[in-house]
Amino acid sequence: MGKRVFVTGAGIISALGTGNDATLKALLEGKSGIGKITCIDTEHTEFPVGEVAMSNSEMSRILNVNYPVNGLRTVLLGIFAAREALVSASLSPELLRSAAFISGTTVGGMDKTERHFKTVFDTNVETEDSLEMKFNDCGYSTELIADSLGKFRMVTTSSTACSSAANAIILGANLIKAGIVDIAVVGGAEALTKFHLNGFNTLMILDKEQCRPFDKNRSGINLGEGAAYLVLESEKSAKSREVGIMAELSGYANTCDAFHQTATSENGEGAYKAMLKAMEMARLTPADIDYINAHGTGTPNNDETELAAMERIWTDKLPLFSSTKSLTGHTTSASGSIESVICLLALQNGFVPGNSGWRTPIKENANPVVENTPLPEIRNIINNSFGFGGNDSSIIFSKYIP
Amino acid sequence: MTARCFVNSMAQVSCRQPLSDEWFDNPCALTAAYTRAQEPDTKGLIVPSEARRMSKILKRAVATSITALNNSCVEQPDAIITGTGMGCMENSEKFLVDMCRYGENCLKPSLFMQSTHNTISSLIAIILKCHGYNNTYSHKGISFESALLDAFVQIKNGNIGNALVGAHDEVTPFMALVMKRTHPEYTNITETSVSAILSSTETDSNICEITDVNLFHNPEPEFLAGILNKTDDSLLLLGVNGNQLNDTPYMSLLEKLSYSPSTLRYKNIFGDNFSSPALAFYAAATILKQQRIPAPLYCDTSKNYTGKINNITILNHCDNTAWSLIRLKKFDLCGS
Repeated sequence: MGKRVFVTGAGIISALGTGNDATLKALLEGKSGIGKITCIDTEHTEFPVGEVAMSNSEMSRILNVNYPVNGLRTVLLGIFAAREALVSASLSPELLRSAAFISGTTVGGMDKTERHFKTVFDTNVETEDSLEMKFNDCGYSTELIADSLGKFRMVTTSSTACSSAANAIILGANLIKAGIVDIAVVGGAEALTKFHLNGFNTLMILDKEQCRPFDKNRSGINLGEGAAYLVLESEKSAKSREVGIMAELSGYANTCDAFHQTATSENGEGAYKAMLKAMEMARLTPADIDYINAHGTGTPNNDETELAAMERIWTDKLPLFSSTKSLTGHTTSASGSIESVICLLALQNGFVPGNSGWRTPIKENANPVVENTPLPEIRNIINNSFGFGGNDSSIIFSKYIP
Repeated sequence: MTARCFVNSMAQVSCRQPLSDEWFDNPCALTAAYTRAQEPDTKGLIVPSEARRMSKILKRAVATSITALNNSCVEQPDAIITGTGMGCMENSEKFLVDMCRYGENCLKPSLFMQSTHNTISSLIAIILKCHGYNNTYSHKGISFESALLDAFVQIKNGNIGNALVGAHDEVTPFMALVMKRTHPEYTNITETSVSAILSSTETDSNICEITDVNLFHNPEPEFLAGILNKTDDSLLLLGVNGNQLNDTPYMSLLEKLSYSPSTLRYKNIFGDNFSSPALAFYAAATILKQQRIPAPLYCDTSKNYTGKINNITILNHCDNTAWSLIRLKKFDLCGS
């Protein structure tokens, strides 16, 4: 403890659009990015998704990138978001040389692998296709994103499924507090793939309609894709650069539910502990929390247990809460940073984004914010990201007070 | 950053005798291009009905984790942090094969549920009922060092008092064929499972102390040499494997040193995979504890090290992009 960590830059791309401005506009209009699946070759077109509305070749052209980046959707998405984050924090190439780049992904280059796998497995390993499988691993994706930005001092990848980006944020903050780096570009990137669309389908947790987090009749997830990065910075560095401070990363925690690989414990033990520990680090009481951007995937299990965890902490009245996954889709490994940027936009613009698609209460006094709600006095936001294996991360963004 | 960080116990599964230090007295060089790990006897470590449902990497990871924990001063770890370059490859591969063979309508949920990289860390937490910090790093050949850095920083700043840190990679026969093409710099492809208990507690069962963990991206040889020249690290354990594609960056670095260190290797004994640096860490810690160096570990047998073994510096790279530097120090109770 002791050392403060600030957010001095942010970049985002998702089904809501490219960049902070487009995302804010879509959020304020309450516009959902959920639609028909087009970017992957799958039979399962019955499941709507939150796609980024650009093909790989369009993105490659805009970004001016070539092989192998042009065939790796996770990397393309990552470059869009990371470039914006660097510009918004006015990071010069010299500053990158002592900075860390930490990205969360689980898919990595799986999109490329699944395109080449059959040829390699069924016919012959001695083909060009097998060389393409080099890019399968998560680390390659991260390095390609990092190298497109400049020369970082260190680069690594966290991979904890749907909490990956949140855990990248946590490592970045810990490295700054330890004095190892002054600046860390942190977040995550994840493209839709046939692999995990089918994977989630085997678990029977995909919704054929727009998902309805915290609705009594919710029936699962809409997958999404995208990327987002934050620039985290030590107080000393931010002040000496006189860069604008978007928010303080005042608290964070990761815990494990330690219950099941893909289900959560009934009372949301991991989520409960993550939120409590994050508030403890931020020296905030439950009453100080103005808004929770919930993990809220729309599965019966997640929303019920996340609510149970919240009710254990806020026994009288829940703070304002919503899930923005009915707008972006569940962007899996990138969700922790995509929803962090949404929280930063909410904090800077004084509003709470609505939980689109919600209609029916689960029970009394447990309703999310459905319509965008102005909240000029918003000060502290918890962002929850929960991954497979009960990997639970809570991150708190607070309005910057000098 | 005031606390100290000790290695309290370790266990390994590799191409050597599993869950044992037998290789130390019997270090023989690898010859095969691809060698699978020797499977550990999981009796007493994993409930048999559960072991049957686990893939190879999960069984090995649980076996090394439970063994390290049983041999340590820690009952329940404050954190579980894992490095894995490729994650649960066997299950991912089976899922992909099924998708190619049978299309998208009769796939098995169990394969997907146990295909993500963090399945390993989660499974250990579920078995131990450990609600502490749980993270997984998947970054090529520095996955282990990323996990180690996370644990090191959190122990040093007092966030946690101890951690179970592991690195696990399995290589299926199919992936070994692919890796021969995608990783021509490898000499002997192998598999790795290493678990270690790190702790801030000073106890006579400590194996060694970790004094530094660093990750570097695309560092210039001059930059790395500058770091080593400052402290004259006299014993260097390097990730050399006899393959020029892999070894040249190490040689460029050695040329830039202003002193002449003794250089050690480990890949001739343990082979190459994304998690093999964890075996370097394990080998160096074992050397510090035993205070001797098995002869085949010397890069140059004419340059045997004769002094007291106080420090070992471990250097590894992957693709000459991701580099890591770990410094280990001999442990003496009530001394520093």
